[in-house]
Amino acid sequence: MSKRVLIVDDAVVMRMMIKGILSKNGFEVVGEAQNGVEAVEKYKQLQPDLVTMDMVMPEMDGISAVKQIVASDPNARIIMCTSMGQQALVVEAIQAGAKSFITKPFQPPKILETIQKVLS
Amino acid sequence: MSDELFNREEFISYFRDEAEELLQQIDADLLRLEEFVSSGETDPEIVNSLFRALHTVKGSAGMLGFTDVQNLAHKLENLCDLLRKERMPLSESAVDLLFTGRDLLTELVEAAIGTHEAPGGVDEYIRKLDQFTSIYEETAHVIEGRMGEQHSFDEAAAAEEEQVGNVDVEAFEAEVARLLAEAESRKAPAPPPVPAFEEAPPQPVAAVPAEPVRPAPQPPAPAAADKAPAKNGEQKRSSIHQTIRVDIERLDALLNLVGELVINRTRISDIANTLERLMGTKGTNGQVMANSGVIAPLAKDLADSAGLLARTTNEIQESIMKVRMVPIGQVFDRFPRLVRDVAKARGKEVQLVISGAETDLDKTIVDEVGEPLMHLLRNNVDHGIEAPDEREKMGKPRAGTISLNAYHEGNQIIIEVSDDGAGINLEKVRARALKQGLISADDRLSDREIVELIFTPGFSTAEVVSDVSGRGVGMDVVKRNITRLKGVFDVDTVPGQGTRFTIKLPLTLAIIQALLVRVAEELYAIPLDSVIESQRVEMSDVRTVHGNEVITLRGQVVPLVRIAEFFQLDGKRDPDKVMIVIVGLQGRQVGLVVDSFEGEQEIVIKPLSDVVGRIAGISGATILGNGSISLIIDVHSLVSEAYSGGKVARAEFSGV
Repeated sequence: MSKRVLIVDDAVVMRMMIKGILSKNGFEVVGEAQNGVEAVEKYKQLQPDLVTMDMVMPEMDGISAVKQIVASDPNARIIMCTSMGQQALVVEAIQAGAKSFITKPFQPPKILETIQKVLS
Repeated sequence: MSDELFNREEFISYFRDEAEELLQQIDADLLRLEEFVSSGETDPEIVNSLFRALHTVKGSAGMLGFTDVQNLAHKLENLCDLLRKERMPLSESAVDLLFTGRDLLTELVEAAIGTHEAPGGVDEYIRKLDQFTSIYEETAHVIEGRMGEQHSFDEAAAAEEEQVGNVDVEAFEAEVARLLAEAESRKAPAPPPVPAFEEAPPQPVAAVPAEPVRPAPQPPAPAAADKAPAKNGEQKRSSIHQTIRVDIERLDALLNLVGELVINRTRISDIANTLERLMGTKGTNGQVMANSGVIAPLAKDLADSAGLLARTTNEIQESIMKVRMVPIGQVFDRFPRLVRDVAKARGKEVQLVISGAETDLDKTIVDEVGEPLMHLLRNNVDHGIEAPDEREKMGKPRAGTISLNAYHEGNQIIIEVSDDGAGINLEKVRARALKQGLISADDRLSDREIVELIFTPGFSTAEVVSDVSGRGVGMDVVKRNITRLKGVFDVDTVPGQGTRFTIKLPLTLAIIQALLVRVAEELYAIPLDSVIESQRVEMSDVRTVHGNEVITLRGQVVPLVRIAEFFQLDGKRDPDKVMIVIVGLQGRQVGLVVDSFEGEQEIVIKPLSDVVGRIAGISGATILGNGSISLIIDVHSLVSEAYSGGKVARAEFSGV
């Protein structure tokens, strides 16, 4: 059974890109959200195995979304998508409950590797 | 990046749409931000929004390897970050820098997707930007200590972003790992998500090999393929906007087919009507009588069916029209920036008030109307609104107001551009036209005719041809563009109080209501929206003034145009009476003389092919229900012709 993934990013290009990489490698992308508020809602609704979470988004940023999701499901597996220069934020996100992070621009092999590690 | 993982073309098209939207938003945010400059304070929500938009552009550009875009977006994002963290005060120069940067970024995006040449001056701009931000960044470093170091790391990383290599990413990830370890040792009892935190030590990060081996996908590929249909369904349900993108050409093709359907609907209705009429004339024709027992029910069926077909066709037509409708705001969005720039360049203060941005109209028209509106707005700022000091002397507020308003009226959309400026100086226009030889000294022109001189090609009242309105970009160009869209362009002006330009456009260009008339055995269609009335007039009421036939209608002199003679057809004049269709355009009326009226009909406009070329007085052709072809009369050119050279004014003067 393939793992179900929720992709959270405000940029269409990013969502498409991650979706492309994941779908081609046996994951099932069950939903997309374009801000933190949608992410929290869709997490509750879809109960995915994994979330990829952008940091900088309108409405609600990634870290706040991580906090809310983890509060309702302590076992949530969330991977942050970060840009270089956001180290302080990455640390904050991981302390808030994110499992790991991947750095933009993404290297497909690295994304898959990080995901496998988080899922195992 | 493994290219086989995604369709690059497709991604670039998504990137283009996204970037376009974001750049538009950045522009709007900057305009709002600029309003805060005088107070020196910043609205954090605007700056955050700017920051996020730039961040997204940067991220997406990075994924596609558009390093120039990525680099500049990053620099601009930095500036916004300084504003956001209140390390830099909001100043006019900062906003100006951001505006310039936003424009360069737009050009870089266009260059990256290949629709534009690469802009010059990027390096120079970045140097200027670096210089500007460096002072504040240094201050920030002193204040922040550690954080400052991170910033300089960030800067260093950005500087090398020419090629975002693994080295940088690794350095970054190592830094995160170190910070995580540090954070862990600093606070032993971590807040709520303790278990989660324990599960996520920095190891996965630190353990990332320099050249990661691509892991074999856990579930085999076929399984994924099996999943595909289910996944598609899911995708549909969970897609963020329930919209799809459709090539406009497909919609055009569909509309064309609907046009054919409309023609056939009319034809079938005609047949049904004829049949019904024949059924009604029982007794006058023995044959019909004989068969009517069989035919009558059939005729009734046909009539019912034709009615249903008509209704469905109408609905299809309406639906497809709606599909093609987009809000005019798409065009309006770029005007606040335009007005700001022009006003700034001319040392004027102007406030642009937009209303009705949500008003829908056909996509084709939306695309075409932007250019004329842009000229109009430039013109309003340039010629309409007075300099602030001058306004003050006249007791007006220093800042002028330009209103841009759109609304629906019947089958039309009305766009008004009005200003509270100086108005059009009739004397000046007249003098100028005289000097340019557009009129002669003894031409007696009504006020309206004088105002309309500004639509004459080559006319310009500007003393100096400004760089803003361009090569004295004429109102004639605006008018021509509007006319090409079957629109009407009108102007009202009150000296000292302002000018209002009104543009009336059809909601769609494809299907119109028309009055059919017969002239010398041929059928012509006159667009119904310009028809005022049709009349039978005795020849004794027709007068000839300076060789032109006119009638007086409710006190107004209306020139006549004999269609047969205009098109040089073999028509014979009725010595007793004339059948006249009164058409009006911008308050000017003309009586078109025809042989007979043939009723109203919905027609599908087919443009004349290039082979035929442009014919004066004809705007297109249509196929009627019975399959015959009818030419569509170009009311605009006939009215212009009738009024050319002050003919009507002379007639009025003659006291007809």
